[in-house]
Amino acid sequence: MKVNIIYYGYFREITGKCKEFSDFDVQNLKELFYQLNKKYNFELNIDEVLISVNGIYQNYSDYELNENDEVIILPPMSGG
Amino acid sequence: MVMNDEIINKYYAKQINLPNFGIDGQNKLINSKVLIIGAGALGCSAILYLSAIGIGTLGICDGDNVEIENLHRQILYDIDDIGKNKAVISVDKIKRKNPYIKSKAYSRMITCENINLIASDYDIVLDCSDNYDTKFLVHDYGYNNKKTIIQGNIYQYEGEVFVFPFQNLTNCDIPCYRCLWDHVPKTFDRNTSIKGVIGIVPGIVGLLQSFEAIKLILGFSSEESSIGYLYNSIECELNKIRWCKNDKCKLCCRERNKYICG
Ligand SMILES: [Zn+2]
Repeated sequence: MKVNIIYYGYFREITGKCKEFSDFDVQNLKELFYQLNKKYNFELNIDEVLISVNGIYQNYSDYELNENDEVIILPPMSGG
Repeated sequence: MVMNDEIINKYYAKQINLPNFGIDGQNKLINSKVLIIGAGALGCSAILYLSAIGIGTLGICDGDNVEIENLHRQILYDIDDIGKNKAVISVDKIKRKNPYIKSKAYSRMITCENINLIASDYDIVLDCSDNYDTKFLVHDYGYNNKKTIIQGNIYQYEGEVFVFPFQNLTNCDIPCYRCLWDHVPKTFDRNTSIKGVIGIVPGIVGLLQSFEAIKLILGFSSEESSIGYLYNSIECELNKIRWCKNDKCKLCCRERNKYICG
């Protein structure tokens, strides 16, 4: 399914992009993160990452994705 | 300096003229007390605008002195300020910018021991600090003492503002920062200054924090729960993030409050 991914911080650096609208053969967040990890080698577990779908943080990795969902992948930030 | 109401009203005339602002709005600001923790890049931008808009009492807390490498982004300070305490200098600048408000300098770092003494008198705390320890300390203090915290964070060309309206805690369940991050994973435990920073990004983020405070004071904000604003300066985009209470949270899941401090 097509998913619109927005990367912040560390994930923008690793992927080299702010956004990615791509087709993934996945059903849920866990599978999506697994595919992204394989593609970009984040070297992180899903529980070390903050993921929101359509503006809502999801901490259940089996959260079912839908076509055209907007997924934000966010690390913590500490600068001031 | 003694000033009469006519001069003060002239100072604020242009904002008082705004729809939904008026004298009532100005009085709300004059009667409010805001504490800014960290007078670095985020803090400088917040201090400038919150003093000019007429927040009645501004507290500035920072134990650091101004260094030359701060000047490109910590926009309140001049070459002549190098070596002087940031909180003291900030209050000095506020008094010249707007002599009609009160300001107080706390020229020390915020700690678990002094946070209650410093923050208890204020309605809203802007967390403009630059490290996770302070951010968690300020956040947990706000949660435990029902004080609204507006946290600003930056990373390179991006920034975040988290609004935690803990003053509403008696009315509803408000999720906290530890519902998102109980601790910081090792991979992200880095110092931003090593990676570089451009002044405009914390400038904008500090202003977003300031306006969130203003909106709460004026009653403009329709948000009653916690919210995060994510800002990407390169794309010039803002994303929002909302979340529910995490039943594994060690702070706001009541039986498990492990973070009492201050
Ligand atoms: Zn929580």
